[in-house]
Amino acid sequence: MRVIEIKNLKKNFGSTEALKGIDLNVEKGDIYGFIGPNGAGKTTTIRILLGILKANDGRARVFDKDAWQEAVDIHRNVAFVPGEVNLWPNLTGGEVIDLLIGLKNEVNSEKKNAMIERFKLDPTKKCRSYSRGNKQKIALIAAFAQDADVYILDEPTSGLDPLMERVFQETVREVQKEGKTIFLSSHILSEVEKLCDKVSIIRDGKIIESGKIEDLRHLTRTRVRIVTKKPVKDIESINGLFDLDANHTTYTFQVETHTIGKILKAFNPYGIEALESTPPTLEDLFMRHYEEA
Amino acid sequence: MDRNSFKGTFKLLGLILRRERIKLVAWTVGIFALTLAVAFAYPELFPSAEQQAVMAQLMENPAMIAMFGKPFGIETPSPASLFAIEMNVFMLATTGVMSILMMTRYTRGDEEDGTLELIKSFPIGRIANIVAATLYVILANLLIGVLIGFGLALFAHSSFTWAGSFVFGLSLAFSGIVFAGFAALFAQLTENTRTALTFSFSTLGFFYILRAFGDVSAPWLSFISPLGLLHRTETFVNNYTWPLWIALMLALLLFAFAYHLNNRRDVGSGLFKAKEGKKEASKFLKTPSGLALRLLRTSIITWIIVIFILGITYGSIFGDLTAFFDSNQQLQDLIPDTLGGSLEAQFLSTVMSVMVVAATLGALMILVRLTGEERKGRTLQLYANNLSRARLFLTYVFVGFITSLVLLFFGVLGMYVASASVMDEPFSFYTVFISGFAFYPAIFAFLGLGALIMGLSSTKTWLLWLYLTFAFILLYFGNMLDFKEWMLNMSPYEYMPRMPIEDAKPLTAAVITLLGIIAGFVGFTVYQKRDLQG
Ligand SMILES: Nc1ncnc2c1ncn2[C@@H]1O[C@H](COP(=O)(O)OP(=O)(O)O)[C@@H](O)[C@H]1O
Ligand SMILES: [Mg+2]
Repeated sequence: MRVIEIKNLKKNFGSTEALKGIDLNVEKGDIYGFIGPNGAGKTTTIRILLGILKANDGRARVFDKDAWQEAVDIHRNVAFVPGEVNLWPNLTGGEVIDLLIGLKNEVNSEKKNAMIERFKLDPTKKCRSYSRGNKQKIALIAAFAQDADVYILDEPTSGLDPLMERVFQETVREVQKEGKTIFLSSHILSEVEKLCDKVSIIRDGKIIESGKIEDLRHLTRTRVRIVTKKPVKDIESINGLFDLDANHTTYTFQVETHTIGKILKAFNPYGIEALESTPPTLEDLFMRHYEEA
Repeated sequence: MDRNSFKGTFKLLGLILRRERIKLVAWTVGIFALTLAVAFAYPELFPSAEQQAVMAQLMENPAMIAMFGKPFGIETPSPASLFAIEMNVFMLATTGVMSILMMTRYTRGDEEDGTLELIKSFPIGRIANIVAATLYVILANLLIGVLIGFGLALFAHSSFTWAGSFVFGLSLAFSGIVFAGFAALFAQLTENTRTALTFSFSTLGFFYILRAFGDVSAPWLSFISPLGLLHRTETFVNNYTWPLWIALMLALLLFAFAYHLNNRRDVGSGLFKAKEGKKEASKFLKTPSGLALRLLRTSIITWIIVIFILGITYGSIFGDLTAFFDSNQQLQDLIPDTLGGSLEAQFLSTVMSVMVVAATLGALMILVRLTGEERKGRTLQLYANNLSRARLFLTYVFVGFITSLVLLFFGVLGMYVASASVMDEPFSFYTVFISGFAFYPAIFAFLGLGALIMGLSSTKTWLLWLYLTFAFILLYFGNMLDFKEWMLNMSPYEYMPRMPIEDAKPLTAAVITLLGIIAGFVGFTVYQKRDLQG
């Protein structure tokens, strides 16, 4: 079942084109990563999904309902954590959590207290005294203590410490096990890599890559270092070696992941003494896209 | 505090000037233009010596004294002295408002936004920021004061002497500087911008009321109020400069105290500490109206108290008013009897207009808090949690509407209680009530306009304040200045009957109310169709 559907979505702020026609589909049960550098258009996309901003063109649907027209209906089953958490300075953390959940459904105290416990929050302080990370925790607790079908999280971990980041990841996985959908934006690759099944990479208001994490890995090149007994004759004739560096019988190069078997065969006759390969990281892919101007 | 404490002051001052140049120009031009426009009008309004004498006598009436301040040079009035009597206190308060806003912005405001933290990571002295803000406000005030000095002396009627013009201009500047001192102090004591502003504006309001009380019945009280004190410059008559020096000393004391506190405390903290709060929200808080009321609670209660005190202050002048009329047969002859009603009744509506404007201001400030919530990025999470835009918008409109009724009622009540206790033949409650509520359709129209502006954008509320200021000036000075018909037609207040002297105008009331409803409805509709800021 399709939970989020975005088609040719466009949004302008005056003369700035924040979104230049993006497409994206999130299925039920996905942990979907939405990555891109700052200013790429992640928050804009999420705000359109929430019906806070109105798109100039294209389609944005959640649960097969129009994000703008049927916002209130959609929100019944959406939990949201904003990128920048702004809270009422004169209310306490506990009050804000209750208030946000309470606008939607009855507060499930057990679930809520478990979340407060888990994220180690002191709910008795006034919001003005919370640090950035603590404000984010409040928004996360309020979101995860709700009974929602989809969780839309805008850079939810940018203020958390590594310990809390792990708590966050555990929580997301648990929620997924209950059959819920998570849509998560981030500019930190390692987080998305650890958590997500599928990703879309956005840059400059355009989706530049999208698909399953493993599929995207295929797009990247593996770095290989081979030491042979005898020097390889005619090394230039082997197809598919990139950035080759030959030093006596030591060869370092990059290969497309799917050609690796063929290339090893070509090296075999010369006697392989040592072989190292560095697995592809999304970082390479990410960087490659970032560097393209 | 050593020399290092001030390091970087001038760099920061440059930064403020760059950030704030447009606002600085707007305030300067606004205050300068208003002063000169009124100054030009006076010689035309009161060309002959007789007319000036009548006006001077009218100014001696307690209602006028409470509103405008103690008159001076009554025996030999000139256009310039009449101008000073009527405009001085009002303008002193205006530069006060400007300075409070500026000072708070660059002290507590920057601290709240986190800008100050960033600035402090550079080699900048501990109190450089607050000193830079002080210099900025002083510069702004002196600029305005000197410009007005030159403007009045060069361009206005010949009775606007050089000495008088400069003492007038400087009294405005020094009032601004004193209230900047109070603002600097409260910025240290409180933990956030709004509380700091509330304290500062309450102080300004308190001094205004103290001056009104003092000028009518206990002169020494006026000297304690910077507004009353600076009015004692008696410009264009005596041009005393000693009030300026006292004001300067007071400002220096306030700044010194504020710097001392600033030097001692941590960035982001205030002296009034937050106490431990509740772990859970009450049932009430979980509803939109509960949340709105909780957020607005303190402001609403503060406004109720302020307007009630204002009502009592102005109500209490009716005792003196009776005595004044009894002793002044000449004036009694001057006021046309054709209007009917007692002399006191004729002034009821005038005095009531102060309550009306205060109630409008209070209700509008409550109403447009929704745009503040949006600007601060706090509505986003509410809407994401299944709350409709329509519902939250209507909640604020409803709270604003109720607030306007409650505020006007308490203003009326204060005036009734006080007038009843001082008058020989007191007004009935109904008379006072109807005098105030005759204006209500205009307040309602303002609320509609507020809803319209709020619907259109979260950053255009200044339009509302500009329009209210304009309408207030027409209402406040309308008795004395001869405004053009088309100008009067632009303010909803001017359509309202001056009851109990005039008759009710149900049709006008209905039309104005309807306009308010239409404006509000348009605002309600567009609010649901526009992009939200956060
Ligand atoms: N309200 C706005 N007005 C003008 N420009 C905006 C507004 N919101 C976002 N933008 C611009 O749109 C682009 C995308 O921003 P955003 O969606 O916040 O990026 P991200 O969340 O990926 O960092 C940026 O260039 C940003 O400057
Ligand atoms: Mg963002």
